[in-house]
Amino acid sequence: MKEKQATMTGRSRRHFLLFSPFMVAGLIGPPDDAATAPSSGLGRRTATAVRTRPSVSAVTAGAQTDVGMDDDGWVCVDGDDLAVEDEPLGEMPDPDLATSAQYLAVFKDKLVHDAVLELFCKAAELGGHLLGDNIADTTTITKMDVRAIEAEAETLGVDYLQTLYGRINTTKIHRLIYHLGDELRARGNLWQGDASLNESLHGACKRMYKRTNKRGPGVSLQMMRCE
Amino acid sequence: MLREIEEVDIVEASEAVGADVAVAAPTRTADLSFSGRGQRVAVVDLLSAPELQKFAARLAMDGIHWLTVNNTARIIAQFEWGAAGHLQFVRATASLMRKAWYSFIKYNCSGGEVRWGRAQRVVRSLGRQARSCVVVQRLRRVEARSGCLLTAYGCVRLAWDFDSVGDSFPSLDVVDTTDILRLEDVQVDWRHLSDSHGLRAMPSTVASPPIERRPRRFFSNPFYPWTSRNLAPTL
Repeated sequence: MKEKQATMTGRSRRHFLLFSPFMVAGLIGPPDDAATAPSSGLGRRTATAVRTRPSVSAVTAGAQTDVGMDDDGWVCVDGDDLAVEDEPLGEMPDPDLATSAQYLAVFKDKLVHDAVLELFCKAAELGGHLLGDNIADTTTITKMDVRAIEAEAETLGVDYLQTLYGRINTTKIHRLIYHLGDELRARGNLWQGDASLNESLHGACKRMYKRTNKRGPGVSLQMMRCE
Repeated sequence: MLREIEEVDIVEASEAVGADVAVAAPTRTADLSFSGRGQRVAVVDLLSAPELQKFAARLAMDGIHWLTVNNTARIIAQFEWGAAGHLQFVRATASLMRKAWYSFIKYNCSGGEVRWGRAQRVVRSLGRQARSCVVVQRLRRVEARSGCLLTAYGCVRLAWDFDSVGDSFPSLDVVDTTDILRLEDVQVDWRHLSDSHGLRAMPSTVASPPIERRPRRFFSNPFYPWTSRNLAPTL
């Protein structure tokens, strides 16, 4: 019962975010002498910008125009009106990614490893802005701040993430891109709807009740004594 | 020790309640008392630690035969982004809860220049003269790789600073605690490390002879939340 949650919690995810850019730089950064080595694969771009990757269709097909504007993000299954097609997640970027029109529009002449690193840097930066890290006034958030955060979230979710990893339809990405600004404007923070703190206090009540004899009106008094 | 705990409580209470606390919380490092369990160390013993030999030699020249060191110095951090300072602990010990802990700090040096360094010893007295200072291994700012993204996001690339070409260990600064600006989160330049020692190399598994120490590179971490929004403001 007391085992820790196997998945990453919000807290551990946030801790990871702070250090991830440095890890990613070490993992995928090419050696220093790579600049002089013959170019190949993910590391170097070729001169011609031809889109060859079908899996990022919705995003890349639009290229510089209105990317995915008419697309609600869900892919239907043929012959079943109610089903939604599962999309493969966690795929590595395609080898031809650097030559796609969408990539060129977003990252210009950046190498793919730099683009991936930029994604992590942007995520860390956005996380910091959302939680008011390293700023003078942590108690107020202006409309301008919200607009800036919103723009950053869109850059991260639409430009960077979807260009590199294709269309990712998760509720978290959707909320980040479409609802973050509204939430901040409506409530000024992201944790007012968070019930985890109150929920976590139930455990203490349960432990107190467990120690009582569970009989009669004296139970509440016994619980109070537990404190 | 009790006095120290009392001061920590005051600082925490003032952070939680604001200015309503009757006792004023310290706002400057100079206002903090320097308490804690000190340990007397002979300068001769310091000479046996190669990284501190120069410092020990200087003390010996000044006729100081012993000093008192602590595990921790307390400072009121000063943040360049204008946030209110709060209490931070600068650690410099080979064993705190059975693990070494040497904090990286950002400090003002005598010329007004801001420098980075790693605390090596927290000194509370030189002989009988009370002091509140930290012996720091100096880091210097080095040029980033061209087009380095981490630098574009505000990371500062750092390397150990040596006095001369023949030195095996970084040069030392003795920094008064009032000159320490704040703690700094310093990350290894993993790309550099994996270039030289492979993808699985960790700083703890790589031997650190003098020849390895010079090319070693670090980054300051601007993403680290030294000050942040209170996530449960009602409590």
